Amino acid sequence: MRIVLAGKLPGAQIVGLARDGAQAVMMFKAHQPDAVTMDLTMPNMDGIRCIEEIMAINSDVPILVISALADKATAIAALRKGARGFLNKPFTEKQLVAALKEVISDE
Amino acid sequence: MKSTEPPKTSSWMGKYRSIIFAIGLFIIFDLAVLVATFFMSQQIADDTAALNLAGRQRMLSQRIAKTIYVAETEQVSSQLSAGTLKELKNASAQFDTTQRGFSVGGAATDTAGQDLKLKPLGGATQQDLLKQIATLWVPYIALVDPLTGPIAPTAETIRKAADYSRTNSNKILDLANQLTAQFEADVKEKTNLLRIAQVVGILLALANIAYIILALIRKLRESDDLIEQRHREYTHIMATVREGLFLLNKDGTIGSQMSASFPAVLGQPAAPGMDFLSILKRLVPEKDHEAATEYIALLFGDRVKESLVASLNPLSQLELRSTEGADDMVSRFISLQFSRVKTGKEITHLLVTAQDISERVRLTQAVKDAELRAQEEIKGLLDLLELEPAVSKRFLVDTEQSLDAINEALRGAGQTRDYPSTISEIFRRVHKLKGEATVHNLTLFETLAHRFETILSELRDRPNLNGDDLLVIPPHLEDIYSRTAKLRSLAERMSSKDAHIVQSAASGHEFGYMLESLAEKVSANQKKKVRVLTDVPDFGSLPEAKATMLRDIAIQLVRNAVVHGIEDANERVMSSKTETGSIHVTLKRLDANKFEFAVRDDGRGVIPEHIRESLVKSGRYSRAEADAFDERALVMKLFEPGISTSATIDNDAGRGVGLDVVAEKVKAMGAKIRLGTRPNLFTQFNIIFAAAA
Repeated sequence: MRIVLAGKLPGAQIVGLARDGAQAVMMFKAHQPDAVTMDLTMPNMDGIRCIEEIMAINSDVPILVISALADKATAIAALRKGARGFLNKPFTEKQLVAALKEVISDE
Repeated sequence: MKSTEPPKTSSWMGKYRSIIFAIGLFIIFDLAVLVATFFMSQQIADDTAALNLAGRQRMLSQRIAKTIYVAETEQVSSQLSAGTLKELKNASAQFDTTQRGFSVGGAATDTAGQDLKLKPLGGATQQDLLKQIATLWVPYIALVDPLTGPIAPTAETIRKAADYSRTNSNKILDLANQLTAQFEADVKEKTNLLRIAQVVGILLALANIAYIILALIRKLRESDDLIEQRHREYTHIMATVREGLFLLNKDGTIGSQMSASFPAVLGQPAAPGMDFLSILKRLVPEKDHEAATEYIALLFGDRVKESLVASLNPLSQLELRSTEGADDMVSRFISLQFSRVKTGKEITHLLVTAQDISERVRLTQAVKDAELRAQEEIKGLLDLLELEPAVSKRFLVDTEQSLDAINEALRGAGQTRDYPSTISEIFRRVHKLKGEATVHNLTLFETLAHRFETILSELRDRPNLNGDDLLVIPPHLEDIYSRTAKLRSLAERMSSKDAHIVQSAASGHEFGYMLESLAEKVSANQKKKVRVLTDVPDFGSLPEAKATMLRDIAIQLVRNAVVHGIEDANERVMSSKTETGSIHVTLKRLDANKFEFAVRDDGRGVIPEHIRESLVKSGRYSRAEADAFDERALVMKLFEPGISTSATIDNDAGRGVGLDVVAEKVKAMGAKIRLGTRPNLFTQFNIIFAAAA
């Protein structure tokens, strides 16, 4: 993902890659990124809980949920918690870049 | 996302351009008329003042003359009064000031005594009259001025002025009259002009107003027609569109307009104002309903990006089941799609589109099935090509013969009406086919036979079987027929054309190798460790018919030995056995014509209690009946169709057909079969038969 974004989203910089939900929240506090991409299935802290924690820190940050479509209800719950968009796995580079552009746009 | 903004193709500025232009013109007309009226009125006012002054000049000329005559009379009687001279002075001064004002402009006083500023008269006739008056007035004033000076006039001075007055006063009066008449004509002309200008202006303004009104009416009618036309088109669309369409309100109710087909697409009553989620509740499971409720709430919120959540729509493909006729369950698939409708930036509604996508889903499934079928056939072909051409050809020929026999059995069932027996016979043939397929590692045929067996198994267990029940068999038969024919055609094209059908009376070595391969494959499926030892040197000397039947028996017995006899490695170790089980297959010549074929495994043996449980489980025997059987009778039940001690059904066992096939073949061979067994030690089948009948 780092390679994809470096080439397709000029000006974008990945400030951190977290191994699990708990680390993601810590890194979010430390780096205050402009956008977050997140898998719903993570060790230590699941995606829903992680979104809740991040929203408590900054409710304006756009979060793109990246997950498989097996459980739509969980993905919808994640969006209800504050995520802005959803990208189905597997995805192409083009789809990822388009989704990120969409999720960080103001409109 | 949909928008309710007005279409940009015809802006209101463009739409009402002519009317706006007409209103602008109206204002300009009115201003022009107003300005013209103002200036003309001003001119008329000036001319009227001048007219009055001209009239006063007439009066003054007469007053001057009269005063001079009075002064002359008073002079004669030596009673010249100061009042007379003063009056003369005032009259002559006023006349003179006015005369100069008319000629070169200047201040004057009007008839009411108000100061006013005169402009020089512009008309040629007026200037000419003024000049004539001036010609008479200049000498006149020169004679009058000495009379009004500080020194008292002499009689001579008065007489000269009186003489001049008598000669010219009337001339001046006449000229002043003409000047007055000229002013009157000018005023009248300008008044007429003003009237004409006002009338024309008003007429133009009225015409303009009429145009504006007509244009507005036309535009209103056009708008009304357009609205009416759009309404008609909208009504037609909503009445005829095949998709369900409506706007979903924020409170979850269906909007005031809904396409007529929506209830039909949904298969549920629906009407404007009804609660959409309540309707949905009758169609989808609780979990999906909750997900749909959440999804709709997401779309009404403005946080998520619509394009990035479309794939999460839990209602994009709904399967609706309904009953048609007696028991037929019919599945339909519908798709419900949602799009935001915005007014400005506010999300006011969701546009809901409901489509019956049954055909699309069925086509997709058909494509998948066709792909699967093609893959299976390619795999089948590759499996066939791995065999010796003669072996694969023989398998296909045997398969077609088996299918012919099944077809024949089906035809015969119509006459005998012994449907259970027919099913058993078909079962045996299909099971034999599956065994052959397993032997040759032909997965496609093994799978097809297994699917066929599943259908047969359901039929066998069905009480009160009738002819109609057997109608499910031909499609499966046809499927295997067509695939066999196709593969045979392909295999023949791809393999050597001169391959001969191998004789079943193959060598003992080949027979043994075939059984070892079979055991290896089945044991791999069963996750067991099995070794097959064969000693069948005389197999090649058997007549073809007997060899073929013995081969079928051997396949079933070896398969049974692996599946039912040999335990898995853990169980064997617990029983103080080696992990690898053994199966011994022997064929002994007892005399010139008699043979004994034996299959022995060192497995768990036949346990009568297991058979007893299977009998009860099959539903064919009650518990009391099963308990009444002794051990020998129980063991013999294994040869009945549909009785299996296997707990599960898979490709290798569980249908209770294997020993049924054995019994049938033994009978066909005119052979005798013995079963010997000891729990936890062995199971052995012995078949004694004559090579020649």
